[in-house]
Amino acid sequence: MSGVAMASADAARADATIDPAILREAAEWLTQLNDGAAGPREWEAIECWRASSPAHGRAWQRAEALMGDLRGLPGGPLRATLEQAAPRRRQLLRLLWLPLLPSAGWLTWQQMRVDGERWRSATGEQRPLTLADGTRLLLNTATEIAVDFTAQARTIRLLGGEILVTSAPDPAPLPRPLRVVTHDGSVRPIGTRFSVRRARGDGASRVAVFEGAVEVDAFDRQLRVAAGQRLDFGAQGMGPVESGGGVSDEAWTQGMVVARRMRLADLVAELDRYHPGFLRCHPDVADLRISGTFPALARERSLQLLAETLPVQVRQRSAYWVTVEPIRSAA
Amino acid sequence: MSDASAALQQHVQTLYSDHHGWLRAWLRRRLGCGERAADLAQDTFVRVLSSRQAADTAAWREPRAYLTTIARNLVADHWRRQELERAYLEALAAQPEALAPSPEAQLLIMETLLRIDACLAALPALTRRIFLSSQLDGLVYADIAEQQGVSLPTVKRHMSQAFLACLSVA
Repeated sequence: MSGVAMASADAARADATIDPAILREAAEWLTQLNDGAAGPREWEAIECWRASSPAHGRAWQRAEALMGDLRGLPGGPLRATLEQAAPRRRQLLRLLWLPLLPSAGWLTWQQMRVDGERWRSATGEQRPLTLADGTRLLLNTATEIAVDFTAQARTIRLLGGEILVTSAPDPAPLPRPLRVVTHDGSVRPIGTRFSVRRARGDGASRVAVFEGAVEVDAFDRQLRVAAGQRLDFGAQGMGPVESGGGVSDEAWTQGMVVARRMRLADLVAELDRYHPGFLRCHPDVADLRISGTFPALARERSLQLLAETLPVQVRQRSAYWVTVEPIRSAA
Repeated sequence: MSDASAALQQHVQTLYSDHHGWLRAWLRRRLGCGERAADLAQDTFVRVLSSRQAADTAAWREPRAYLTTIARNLVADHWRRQELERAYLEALAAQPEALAPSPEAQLLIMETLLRIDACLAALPALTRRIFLSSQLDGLVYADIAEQQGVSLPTVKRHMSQAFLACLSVA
């Protein structure tokens, strides 16, 4: 074994001696964060927790690396394979990990998997952003992107959430193509304003075009989507290009959710995206239809509107768990 | 170098010269590939050197049983790695090319996968399923609770347990 390998194995070992109680707390935080159940207050609390000792800091570093790792794992066939874990001997496995994985590789992992500069918005936050080429972005709630501009291409990877893109002509001498890439395919704008969405729980990506046109490239097919149209594309294939979604698709950029004879469950799921914690709909009222404009960033007001419009009541089970239920369940 | 580790080195050298050829043949029978058998035989001895149990002289009384215990685990890891690699490549093939990681990054992903797989293997099946539903399928806890027919706090407990397992082997 080389000197370098030995040194990093030693580092990994030293790093491995974090108090299990601290790791357990880190695991609790991860559990909370993972379901989007964390707002600014929780992040502040985590920050405080993290800074309380070097060991807490190391534990959190490990937790962040783990989050990064998990985020990049593809699903599909992999999930089935991972689910059927091979029976093995634990005792020997523990020995196996330490020398094999230098801690440096583990820590730089997050940067290595997806190239580009990362930008994030918190749950309930909308964040405007202007890129080096003048392209303007608006990140909707709970969104993460990686911006990767090279000499050949301008790539924006939507890792999760929703963005509004107002594209600008490339100022570079040789104009580089701009693309927005999601888990499901890529979108190439042609002088335009459009949004792309792939939020948690969504089974597919959705592009909605407000000005100009885009070309969607997914699963070996190309489709052109023009202003006022939208298209879903994902593992189930490419949907038909639909018209007339315009107003409701663009409403989020004004902090609104516009419902037109929308299923209550769908509206509740939409509002849920903007808030830490869970907002759930009781199955008995899931299929009620509702129309209206709801302020996405002001949940209390939205829920009040719901209760005024439909025979439902809003039940606050805890600060983070709110359900929309039929009125009779109060009895 | 301390006396103990000098003694251990001596032990391993003896072990190597006495049993290396035999272990290679044993591995070749199992793997059906001479080259891979040579690699794993080598790995087995590296493992012996880094193992705390190696200092335990009880293990030396039955050197071949001791070696095959380690080798058997390495063979299992080897097959498991192949299985995961295949599944990973399949998953990659289903993704648009633009999202495909570089070959270096792919190697790192394989290492990550093996780690996570090892963490998961130690967990009960339900914990594993809940964790994967959340991390790979992107389901929220409430949906997982409904799907698995358990309460929300139960889902969180399992999630926390799985996170802890992953953090503990890091």
